[in-house]
Parts: sequence; C-alpha cells; structure tokens
Amino acid sequence: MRMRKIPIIIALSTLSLWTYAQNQKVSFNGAARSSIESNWLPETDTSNIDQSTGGNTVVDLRMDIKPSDNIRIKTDFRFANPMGGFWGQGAAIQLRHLSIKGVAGNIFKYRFGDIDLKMTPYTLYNTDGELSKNEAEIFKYTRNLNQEENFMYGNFWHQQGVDGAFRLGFDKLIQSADVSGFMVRNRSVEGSVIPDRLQGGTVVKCNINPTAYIGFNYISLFDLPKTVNNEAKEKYQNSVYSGIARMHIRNFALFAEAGASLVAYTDTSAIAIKDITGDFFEVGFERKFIANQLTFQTTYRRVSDDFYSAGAQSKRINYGSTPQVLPIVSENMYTRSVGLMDLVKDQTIYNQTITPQLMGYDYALNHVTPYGKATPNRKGVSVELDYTDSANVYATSVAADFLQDVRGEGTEELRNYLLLNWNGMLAIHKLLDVENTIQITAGVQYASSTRDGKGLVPNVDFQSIAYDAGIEIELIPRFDVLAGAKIVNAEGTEYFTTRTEFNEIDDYSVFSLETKQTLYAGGVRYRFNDNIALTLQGSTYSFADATTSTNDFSIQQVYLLFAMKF
Amino acid sequence: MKKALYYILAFALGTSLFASCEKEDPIGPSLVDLYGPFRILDSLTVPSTIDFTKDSLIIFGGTWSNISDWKITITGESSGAIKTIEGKSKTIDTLIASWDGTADGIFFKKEICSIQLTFKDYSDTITAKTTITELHDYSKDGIILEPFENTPVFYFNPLGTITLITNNSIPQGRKYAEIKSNEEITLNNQPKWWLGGFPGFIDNTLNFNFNETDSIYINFFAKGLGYTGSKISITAKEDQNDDGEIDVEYGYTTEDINSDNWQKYSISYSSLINNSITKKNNPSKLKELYISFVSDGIEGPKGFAIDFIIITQGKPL
Repeated sequence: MRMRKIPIIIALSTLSLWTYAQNQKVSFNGAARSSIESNWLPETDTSNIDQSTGGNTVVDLRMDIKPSDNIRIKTDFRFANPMGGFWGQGAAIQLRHLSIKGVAGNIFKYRFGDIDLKMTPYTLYNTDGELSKNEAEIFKYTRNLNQEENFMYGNFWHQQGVDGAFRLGFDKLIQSADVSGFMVRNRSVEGSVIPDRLQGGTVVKCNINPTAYIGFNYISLFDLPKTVNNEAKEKYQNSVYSGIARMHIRNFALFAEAGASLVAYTDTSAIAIKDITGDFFEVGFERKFIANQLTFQTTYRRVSDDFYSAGAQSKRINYGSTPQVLPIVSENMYTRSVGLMDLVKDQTIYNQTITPQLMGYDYALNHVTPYGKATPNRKGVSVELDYTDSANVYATSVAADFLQDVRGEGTEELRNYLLLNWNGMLAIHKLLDVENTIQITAGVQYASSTRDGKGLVPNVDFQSIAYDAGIEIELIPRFDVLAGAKIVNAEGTEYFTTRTEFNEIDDYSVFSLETKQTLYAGGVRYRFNDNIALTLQGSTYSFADATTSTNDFSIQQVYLLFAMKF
Repeated sequence: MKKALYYILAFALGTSLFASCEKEDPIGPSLVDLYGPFRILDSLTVPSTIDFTKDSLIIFGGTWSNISDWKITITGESSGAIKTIEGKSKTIDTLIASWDGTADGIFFKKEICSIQLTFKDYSDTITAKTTITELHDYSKDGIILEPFENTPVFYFNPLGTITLITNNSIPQGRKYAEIKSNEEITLNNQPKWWLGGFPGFIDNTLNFNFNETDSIYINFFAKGLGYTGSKISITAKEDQNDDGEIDVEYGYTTEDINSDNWQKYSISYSSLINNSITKKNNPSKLKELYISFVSDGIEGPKGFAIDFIIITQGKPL
C-alpha cells in the first residue's frame, strides 16, 4: 500500500515543484547516499554471531520555498530503502526537516519548526565528539556523514520550536544591541505522568563598538506540570544565566564569562525538595601574531561542583547506547560499549536530546573534560596555540588544560588533571608545488588524573593517550587513496561516580583498567566532481583488555559508499 | 563605556583569584568510609534471649569503619530455619537491622540460634548466639487457614490418605501433612484430574474482609514425596455483583510439587485468573477459597507434603 502511494506523492511533489519553479519561488537541492557494509568477527570467536551485513539507499530532497520576499520554507523529505528491502519492504518516506523563517517589517527575524541553536559553552553548546579534532580524512569523511545524519552541525543543537532576533541601534553608550530568544520543546507529555518539558533562552548582546561587547545569556529547562493534570505539582527546572564580555585592542583580545545555575525540583506535594545552585566563570585573553597566522590564547576557569547546565553538559555521543555493528563479542559474550570504530562509523550512537542528568562517558577517551568547558568541579588554566600559514601548507595546534578539582570528591585531597592535545596538518603537494593532493594529518591527546590517597584509600593515577594519523594521496586526478589509524591506550586507577537524578554524587566505585583500542582503515575514493564520490574502505578494529583477556575482540569491516549532493 | 568593560574584566579576574583560594568541604560519601582500612568499632550486639510475644522486633547493633555490604544470617540450631538480613552501611541500628522472628523458609522453633555477621568485601566475621523463648505469632500476619497440628478434613476422589507427621525440622509447629492418592483413567478414558481437596474456606467463617486494592497472598509450604505430576490448585469464588450468589471463579495451579526440601509458596491473589472473562479478580468480593490436590492426568501414585496455609495482606509470608 505504501509503495502505491510513493509514485503519487513523487508525482504531486514534482508537479508542484515545477509550477513553483516557473515563478522562481522554489529551489531544490538534496543529497543521495547508498552504502553497503559487511562486518565480521575473527574465526577464533566461536561464541557469537560471526558476521553482519547491511546497507541502505537514501535520497534527501530538500526544498527551499519562497512564498514571498520575506518568508522561506525549508523542507527535507527522505526516501529510504534498506538493503534487502525488495519491492518496497522496509521502504519509508520521512519528513526530516520542516522550518519556516522570515523577517517581519525588515526588523524581526523569526524561525519556526526545526531550528539549530547555540549560545555559549556554559549555557547551550553541543561539545565536539571525543577524538574528533583534526582526524584522518578517512575517518572524518564518515564521521561527518553520521553527524549530518543526526543534524549535528558544528556545536549547534537541533531542536524544534521557535526563535526570533532583532537589533536595536543607539546613539549613546553603545552602538547597537542584538536581542534574540527561543523556546523549544524538549520533551512531550507521556500519559498522565510525565509532563511537557520546554527549554527557553534569551541572549542580549550590547555592541559597544565593532570590537567590543558585553552581553547577557539566560536559558531554562522547565516542566509544565499542568500538561498532565490540573492538580499536578511536580516540576523540574534547570536555569543558567551568565554575563559575557569581549574586547579587542589591536591584536589583543580580552574576554570573560561568568554565571550561575539553578536546579529546582518540586515534588508531587508542591514541596520544594531540591534547590541546588552552582556557578562558574572564565577569563582569558588572546593575542595574534605574524599577520594573524599564529594565535595564542589562555584562560582561567572555575566551574563549581554543583554547576549544572543541561544545554551545555548534554553529550553528543550516548555512551550508554548499544553499537549497531556486532554488539555481542568475545569469549565472555558481553555487549561491548561504544568504541573507536563506532565513533567514526555508527550513526545510531548520537544523542539528540538535551538531558538534565549528566550522561556517562568513556574514561579512556577523555575523562578530564567529558562535558567540555562546562564540566563541573574543574578549575585551572587552559593554554592554546594555533598556527596556520598563509598558504595553508602547515597547520598545527597545541592545547593544554592544567585543571584541578574545585572540591575533593569523597576526600579533601583534590585531583590534578592534565589534558594535552597536539595536532598538525602538512599539505605536501603545496610544499612540492604539485597539482594532486598529498596531505598528512596527525594528532596526539594525553589525559591524566592523579590524587594521593594518603595511604588510606587507593590513589588516583589514570592516564590515556590517543594517537591519530592519516594520509590522503590523490594518485590521479580525483582518485584518492586514503589511510588512517587511531590508537587509544588507557591504564590506571580511577573512581567511577554514581549520581542521583539531580546529579549529586551518592557513591563511588574504584576501578583499574589497562586497555588498548586500535582502528586501522584504508580505502580508495573517486570524486566524480566536488559533490559526488564513491568510496571503498576496509578497516580493522580491535580491543584488548590486559586485566581480562577474555574480553578481547576484533572486528573487520568492508564499507562501500556512494554519496552525492545536488 | 570602554572603562566599564575594563572594570568588568578586572572584577572577573579578581573574583577568580579570590575564589581559587577557597578551601571547600569534600562532596559525596567519604572515600575513607568506602575504601579505608576496615575495622570493627562496636561488635555485634544481640540479646541473649528473645521473646517474640513481648518484643515484636529485635534490634541488632554494631559499627565498623567502612560503608560496606553486610549480611546477618540467623540459623536455628535445631530446626535449621534461616533468616538473612542484608544492607550496605557502616552501622546497623533500628532502621536497617531488626528481626521480627520470621524466617526465609521453614519457621524457627523455641531454640538456640547462631547469628553470623559477614561482609562482602572483607573477611571479618562476627558471631553471636541467642535463644528464642517465645515464637513469632503468625496469626498477627494474616488468616491461618490450616496449621496441620490436627488432622484436617480432606475429601478424596475417590481414595487417598492424609497423614500427619511429627518432626522437628518442619516449616511450622510440630506436625505437617502427607497427602497421597492415585490418578486413574476412568471408563471413558478420562483421568480424574481432581484427586481431592479441603472443604471451602468460607468468608462467613474466616471474615476475609479485604479491600479491592489490597495485595493478597496465599502462602503455604510444600515438598515432594517422590511422585511426579502432583500439583496444588487454588480456586477463588467471588460474588462480584453482590447478589449473595457466587458468580465468577478464578484459579491458579502450581507446577509439580517435586522438591526434596520444603519450599515456601506465596501466590499473589492477582495471579488467579479466569481465561473466559477479562474482568479482574477482586479480593473484596471473595466468598469461598478452595485448595485442591490435582494431577497431571497421567496414571499412577501422586502426593506431596504440605504445612501451614496462611493468607497474608500487603506482603508475602
């Protein structure tokens, strides 16, 4: 029945598109992708399902409709057919995006529907996924596709609701003020128990001059108890407000942000049983050198242990999810957790909801700043040095976070954290002045935490180191050979914290681990033009646990992908 | 305005330097309590004699240095009855470690009990002894339908025996019943299925007096006698339209009673069903309750041992 409808819908859509197109009121573009993959465990694994195959074909048809000069409607229809879904079985048509935006009276910009939102790293911010900085092209290519699939563009959160913005001009004190606000639906009512949850925010930015501003941010996640019952009283709220300032003097910039958070919970009897307040601030400066090719930035920040900001602390990756590819592995037949391969290949591990509970994370990947700058209970100095030459031949970046607990966790002793990051890019073809691309990338991340147990409790002494290397060689015009490697070693002793639903720590469990993850990938890619490419990749992923070798496993994968944008 | 911005940034910097010098209390539970060296601070305290008719709850005492998983095991030296109490804390007190004289399985007698306190992560063990002088009064826990201290009325179909056996290691009291019969294939090639049963336990006599929302449990102890295909069936008859007549029946049948050891059965009233109607059972409408001896329909000797049938409210026995 569904298949009978598809040609009719396509025909009607095409007809109406053609009609609109005649009046130049509609334009359309889109993307198409077809992938086939095969994954298998080694022959030595006799306990689990050895092989999985999969794939699908999707076409995203995006329409940009202009009913009038000041209004635009954007839609994204997806036509999807899984591999093996013969004669339409499993085929689906989805409306993936619908938004209306416009300008009222040439003053007020507004958007309805699907909107992407971002404020500051402490208020509303989708922090980058782990180990994604400057990674090899072979990994970046698939990770970007998966992020686009989940509407993860930059550090924006994809939400549904409404927002608006306008600018006011002034003659005195400040030149202008940008004011914006939004309201989105975070959770819909479920039955007669779980109420609607909304998230709203506003930003006021006063531009003193083109290089200096001060501003104010406010964001709140809150329940609407009356949406389940007239007598309902239970309500959760998480609000964050901050002041922000930035000014430039020649090549020198000073900036700061400071604010506070509130978590309030009223129970079913209308009794306020939680009222947790936290605070943060960050101050820093930035200096540019060598005709803006070299940037040095240093900041000091302090985020209190009870600073909770759902919009900034929700993680991009859901480490509690079950990987799509061969989830049961090893002699012990356990469900593996999200690993290196899934970070770059699995599109189902992404978290699309802003959640008030601090989400779990993988200590091996980054336990120093698992919630980005807004990670609670951290204070210290961050330094970053970035260099990109004017011809884009070399690019390198070094960053270091020297952090410490604000309050000891279970002890008066404070953990010391160190997070070092280096990555670099060398465009060899530009160096040699050859036409075809030859480019290498590399990166290292080192994360550690230490705390003296004073002979009473186990010491904290945990380190992880992650390497990333990649190469891209354009053998003949538009035909690329790609290769990349990711390695993560983690070892030491740390404490896993258990938190209540209001994020307060209520238990610890000490653990020791010594693990190694490796991901090697190689492949070829033919770019028909800048928008169409065919890629064949092979990769091997392995996990080794020195403390429990029966947890070891490896997975091989072959992946064929055709992707185009039009 | 630029000056104002300078002041704001200077204030933020000053605040940061000031705040970074603060010394604050630790958050979360103390790690020393969780992972520090383990020491018993106050040993296990237990009264030397216990009279459960006077003290409805016996409170243990004890303190140690770390928050840890602990378990108190009380064993009746004569009956073999066992009661376990578990928790996670660094002290035991009125809230978390008390004993009302009940048992996990078969009941305690008037006997000496050994008490053992153990810890999940530490080898330390503390032992103590106490003597039960008076037993827990189970009549306060619910409606005792049959204690089997005297031979009850039991109907067989057509032949069978009910024998009271006196033994010390039994669930409750001094005696339990062994009920035996035979499954036979009748002339029309049908088994009997129903081999016997107690007379109905009637509301007028026992005063069930339950509320619609009460969670009701029918509890008893049983063990096998080496015969396969022996089961216990419970039938509840309700007057749902309050016309004084029984109008609906709900039933439940156990799996085979074949364990060599006494097993405690606690059957929730809500698990009694009637496949031909969708209306839920309602304990406030209960008028008659039947407990029967049924077979699997295969020819041969059947039987089981049974003791102490009691209905409890709110929680299983």
